[in-house]
Amino acid sequence: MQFTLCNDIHVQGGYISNIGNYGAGFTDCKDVLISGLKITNPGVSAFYFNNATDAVKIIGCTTRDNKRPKLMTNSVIVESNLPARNPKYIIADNDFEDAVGNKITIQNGVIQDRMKISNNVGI
Amino acid sequence: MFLNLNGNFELTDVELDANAPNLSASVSRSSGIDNRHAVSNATYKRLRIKNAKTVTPNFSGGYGITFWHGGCDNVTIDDIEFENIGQSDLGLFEMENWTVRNIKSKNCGYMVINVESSNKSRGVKNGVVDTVYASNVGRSVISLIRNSASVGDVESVTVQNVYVDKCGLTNSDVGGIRVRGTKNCTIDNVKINECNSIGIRVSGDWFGFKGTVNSYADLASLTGLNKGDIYRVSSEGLLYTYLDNQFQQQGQGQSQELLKCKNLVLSNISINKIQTTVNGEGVRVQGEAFCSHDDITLSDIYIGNSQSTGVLATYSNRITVNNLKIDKVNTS
Repeated sequence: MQFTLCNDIHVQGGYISNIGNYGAGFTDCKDVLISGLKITNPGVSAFYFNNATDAVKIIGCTTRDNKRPKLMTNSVIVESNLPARNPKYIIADNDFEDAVGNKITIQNGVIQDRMKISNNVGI
Repeated sequence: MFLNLNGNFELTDVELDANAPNLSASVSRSSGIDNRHAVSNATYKRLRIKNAKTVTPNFSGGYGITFWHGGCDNVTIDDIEFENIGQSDLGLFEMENWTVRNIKSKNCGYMVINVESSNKSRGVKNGVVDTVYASNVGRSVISLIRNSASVGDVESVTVQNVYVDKCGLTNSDVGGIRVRGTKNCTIDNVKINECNSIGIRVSGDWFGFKGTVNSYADLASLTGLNKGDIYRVSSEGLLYTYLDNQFQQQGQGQSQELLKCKNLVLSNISINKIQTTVNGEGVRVQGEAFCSHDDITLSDIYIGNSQSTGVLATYSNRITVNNLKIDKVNTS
């Protein structure tokens, strides 16, 4: 699933499994709420956000990697190419796989103080 | 065979063999039923129409049944079998208050049902397409599009219960189901088993768009211009159209506004086996700058065994995705 230049997105329930690339990607989007989505066996990360995708909430989602070897590099990657926009993220109540890499990777220091990460399994 | 009907009538239990394989690729001569006059309060029931393909295979030759301009209202089309039609099985170009149901299609060269508000048309409105079985479709099974030159909309059309085995056989890009510029339309309960193109393609086309320049002054240096060319001036955030040998400013999205989708619902969609490796999304909701879609709902969508992306959306506002299911796709 890939969304680009979209606003006011609500993804609720469902699953994304056995993917060659990342599971759910968002580029230059705003107001994104993802709830109750299960991502299993992505080829890269489960969630991927870039280009200052802003006002994101990931609530109650699950990520898993059952492959041998595991291919998931991260549950969540946030990569902001436009740090001046200072995007805001809330990542709460999720159950994240113990990925090969980090559970959450934030690739721009500016946005870290705008992250609210709470009550995620394994974090 | 070329049956041209008009007025108020009921046509039932007819078998038409357009017998077109030896004709040249003339659309009208090779069509089954070609309505070019006003039709109202008409019923077409239990018809079999076949062999409107001409010498060229696939997209060539005639339609099965068409409704052109002139006011085709209160029409019921029920229990029709199409086979070997070169163009669309059903071409609905100007109609209001209509029902199409129980359609069976084999080997359609183009689109099984093409709902298109075309040039000069006052639109296609208040219609229902219910229960379509189609196999071996050259292009799209269902097409709901507003033509760029139309003065009318495609509005309040419901498509439901569509079952497809193999579509997009001769076009990898247009989409098994194609939607453009519609208002208040719903597509519910569609099952496509094997699609050689995008499964469902929702586009917000930007006709005539040629590129972006930095400032208004840069427009003067452009060469090779044609009437209707559109450029975006990034410093102003505005579009300019080349008309009467000069650029005229459009409001933001002024003309392109017509080609965006508003309030579109896609529900209970199942697409299995997307075969193309390029542009082969299960569902593509593609807007453009100045032409972004509003209020798109995707409910209970299943995409399986795809060579490409499951769901892709660009330039869209207020998207709701409920119970999405994507399994075994090669990219995201």
